[in-house]
Amino acid sequence: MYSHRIVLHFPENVVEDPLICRLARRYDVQFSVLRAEIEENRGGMMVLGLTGDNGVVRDALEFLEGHGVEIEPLQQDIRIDADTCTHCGACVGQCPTGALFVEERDRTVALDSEKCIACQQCVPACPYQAIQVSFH
Amino acid sequence: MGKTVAEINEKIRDGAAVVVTAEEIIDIVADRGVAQAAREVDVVTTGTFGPMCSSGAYLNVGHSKPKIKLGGGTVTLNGVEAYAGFAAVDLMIGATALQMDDPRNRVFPGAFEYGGGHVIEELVAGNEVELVASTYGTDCYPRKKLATRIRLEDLNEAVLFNPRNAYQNYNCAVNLSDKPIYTYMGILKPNLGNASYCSAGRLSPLLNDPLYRTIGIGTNVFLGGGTGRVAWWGTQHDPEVPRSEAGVPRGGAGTLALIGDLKKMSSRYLVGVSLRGYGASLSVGIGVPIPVLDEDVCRFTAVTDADITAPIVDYGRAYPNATGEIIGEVSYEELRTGKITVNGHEVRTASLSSYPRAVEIAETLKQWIADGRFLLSQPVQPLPRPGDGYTFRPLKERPPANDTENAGTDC
Repeated sequence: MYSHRIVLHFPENVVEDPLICRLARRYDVQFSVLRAEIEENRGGMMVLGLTGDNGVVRDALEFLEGHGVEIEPLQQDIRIDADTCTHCGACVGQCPTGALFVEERDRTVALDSEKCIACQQCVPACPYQAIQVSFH
Repeated sequence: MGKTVAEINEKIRDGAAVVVTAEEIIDIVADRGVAQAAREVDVVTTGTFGPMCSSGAYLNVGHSKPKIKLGGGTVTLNGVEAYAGFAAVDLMIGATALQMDDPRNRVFPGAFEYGGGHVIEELVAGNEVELVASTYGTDCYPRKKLATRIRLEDLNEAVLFNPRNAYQNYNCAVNLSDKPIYTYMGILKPNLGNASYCSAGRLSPLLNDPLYRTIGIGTNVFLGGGTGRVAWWGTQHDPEVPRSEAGVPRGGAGTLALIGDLKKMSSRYLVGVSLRGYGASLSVGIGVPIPVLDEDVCRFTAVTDADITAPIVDYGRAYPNATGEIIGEVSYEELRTGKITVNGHEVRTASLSSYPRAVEIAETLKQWIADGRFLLSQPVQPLPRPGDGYTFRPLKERPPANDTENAGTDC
């Protein structure tokens, strides 16, 4: 069973093609759209949490690649500056996936990178400018 | 039989005082009972660390040659506007002051990356800060312009003086509107997307002395990593808010005005704050020691998060319009689980004040007292207490005498 988070980069010429809709109809895979945006002069970008039988997923990804979509594993780099973070928790309330959470033991703020979708909502919420997210 | 502050100080000098934090006293009272705990424990230390906008510092920068009169002129510190309406070289920098060219909220929501709170943090960290002044000349102060770098150690006086700190309890903020809002309680997502609170709860200074029996004017405190005093009751001090049967206020109530020597403070406990769409501020670390004079004082210090409730307030409409409406009440015990239920919806909660740093402050103050480095002080005057008739009143707007726009006209 395949279950991963991937980033799809759509070239400009397929932005208006309903590829994800076609993917859903044609292949027995489950996915949730974690993030999607049209990048200026760069086509589209989508982060998918994709689950399915290995073979079916391989076919599904080949279908996308056949239409010019570049696929790569989600790699986000979220950095919380340990010297600057006061462990208040302001970021925790913004995090849509629960990747940022408060440790019950000592009430410090912790990060579960596996759950992070690099949405960056935590960045402006930090009163101490302690969080940086780079996304690639 | 009670104890006096003088007796407790004697024990502190002898290294014999029993000092515990406001977290630790909870289990001690639960295990041994309040009577035994009151006999055995001498001091309970509290702590809090969070954004406190009503904070600032006054500085005396010394006289230049030739002399300049900054009073009545304009002064900036790292570009942030300072207040110069005092004598020749006294200045005040407020936590929420901004750089002249900060776009504020013209591009909404503004980032407010650097303000007075950051200037104070930099000074305390020992960094050089640029002072630029422009003023008028006089016979005794002929100079009109000054641009120089200042450092904390070179200043004659640098005093943190905060008109309102250590709010006794506070709102739990939510947003019932359908747009995100940017508040001093942080970013509130639409339609009850999150809930924000800001109190150390069971560790918070005034929640451990809810009727101000021991904390008063003159009380010696941990302030910003150094020591300070309660200078006065804080602005908006409001002892008459509704309280639980145990005397715990059910919303924002008492406050403290605090003063202390900035030169002895630390940038770990005075940290500049940027609140998106709202402004700049300063997070202040405060710890107040509570002398366990008797069983009543001891019982109050054993307050738990379950005993303290916060009003849930809609910052989308009720707060800005000052309607006074609350959606409900929630205990800090519930808030700290990470989710609460509001209007039938599960809502994620997050704190704006740092509980781990509040613990650190209470532990540090405990150590100072245990080491005999910090003595308690008997207040010279109590804070206004419930029943004294002191309240926090709204502004009664009256149009200026020659304000035709607001006063109305016959034509």
